[in-house]
Amino acid sequence: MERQFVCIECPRGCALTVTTDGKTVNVTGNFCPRGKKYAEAEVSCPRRVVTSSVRGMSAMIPVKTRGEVKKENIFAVMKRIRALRINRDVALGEVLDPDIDGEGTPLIATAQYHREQTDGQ
Amino acid sequence: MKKQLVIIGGGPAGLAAAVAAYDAGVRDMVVIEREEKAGGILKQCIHNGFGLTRFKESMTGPEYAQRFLDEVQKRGIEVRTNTFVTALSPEKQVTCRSEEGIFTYEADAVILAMGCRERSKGALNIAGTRPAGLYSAGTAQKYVNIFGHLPGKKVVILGSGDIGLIMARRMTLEGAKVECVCEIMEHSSGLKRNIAQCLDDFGIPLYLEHTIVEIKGDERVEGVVIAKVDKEKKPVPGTEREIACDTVLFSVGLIPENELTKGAALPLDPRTKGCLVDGSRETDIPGIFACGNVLHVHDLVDFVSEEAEIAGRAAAEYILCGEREKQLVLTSAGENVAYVLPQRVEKGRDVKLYFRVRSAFRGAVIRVEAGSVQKAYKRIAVAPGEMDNVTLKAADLTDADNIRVSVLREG
Ligand code: SF4
Repeated sequence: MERQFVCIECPRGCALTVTTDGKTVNVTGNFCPRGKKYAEAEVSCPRRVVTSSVRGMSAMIPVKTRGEVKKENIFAVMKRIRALRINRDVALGEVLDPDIDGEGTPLIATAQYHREQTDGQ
Repeated sequence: MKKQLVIIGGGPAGLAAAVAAYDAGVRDMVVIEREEKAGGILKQCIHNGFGLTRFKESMTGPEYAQRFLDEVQKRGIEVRTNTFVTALSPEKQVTCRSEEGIFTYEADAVILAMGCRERSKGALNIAGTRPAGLYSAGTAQKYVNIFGHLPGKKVVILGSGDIGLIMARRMTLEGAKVECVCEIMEHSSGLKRNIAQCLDDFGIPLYLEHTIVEIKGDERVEGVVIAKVDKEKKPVPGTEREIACDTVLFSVGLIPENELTKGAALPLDPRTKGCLVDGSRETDIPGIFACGNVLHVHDLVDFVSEEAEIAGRAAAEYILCGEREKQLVLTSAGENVAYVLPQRVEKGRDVKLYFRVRSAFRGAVIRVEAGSVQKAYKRIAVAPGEMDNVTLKAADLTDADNIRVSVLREG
């Protein structure tokens, strides 16, 4: 079977073609090895990093999953992210939930946050 | 108040320029930022994919900004937040307004790093009144990511620029239904990876050569009428289709924010809508430099940082070594090229030429003609949404009186 993907690993956006026949998976169109890895994952178990923001006391805190979660779990992950409330100071990179997808992927803050901080621009 | 270097704007360009100028020896400098925190638009760009070129890792906007904020802080560079620059004179006087009042810096050198703004929806010709529920994509992004407020539940997006694509995914994740993205051109101006991961991943349709012809609703948006457009971008009668929605996002392009620049009587390039600069990003006024989105709209922040460092180093050289005699050669946009930046190049120095193509196609050859020197570079594919670059050595420019960049179809 042949399937087409656009590699999302870098801005180049290579057009990937994956041919699978039973056991072997063949990838073409990738400019670098990351494209091959991406395409192989797309045909077996697609995964994505989820980025969002979590409600703090006075402002939103940007977050991301540290590592990818299964694509099929994205909305479940979002539900948990929306339910989170943070009532303390947070450092960049700090874990806000050690297991956001039920498979051990942590959710981390992507900016520092002070409890009294407003959402001032 | 005297200052060797005043940098206007504390976004990615201003911060990177400040660090580069400091490392090249300038100490007496200030970065002026109008918002409460530096970091610019990156603060609301919470998605990932930044920094792949520069840091070889995929970072979110706030993380990318923090790298530079850390460097600025480490060096003890002064960043004046909550401060507006109200005027810039050709003599490099920078007038500012803050809670402390109005004050003026007499600068030896100035770096313009004000970034860009979104093209407004008002500029578009769409029938209907102006009900609530119309937002630029960037404003919606700020509402969702900074204020934690979802502007609507059923969304149509006009324009397939990257911010529009990113917001299609973002609003979907937050529980909105994005009905479609309409793009008037025959190709998207966004990155291919964003079409894949923001639209395709969620089954959001992208209608190319489509536009919104009417917005329905009096107080609140109730729907839009979309239609196919012909080659002249005119709606084709009979192709109209109504889509119910409560929100319309506009992602119809970005324009460099050059109000201050005009005040300094600096001419703008009609194509880039930014200043005319040479390889060191120096404008028509010696000692005034420009970098980042105020100079030309970039699609990758990595290139903004790179350009800002060029400007920062050049400003330091100007401050510490004085004005330099420059022998300049003009660049020009040849076949299928929308613009080339810088617009002029200094002889005796290497230069990286950035350019944008006019249309997308596969199998391209970039041709650079510089006097007797001719160069060709192959590309698998080119697209207007992806700024490209080639580097010329000083030795390539010796007998050039113009440098022309063209992009041709292969074969
Ligand atoms: S294959 Fe490599 S170069 Fe191509 S888009 Fe993927 S990561 Fe980028």
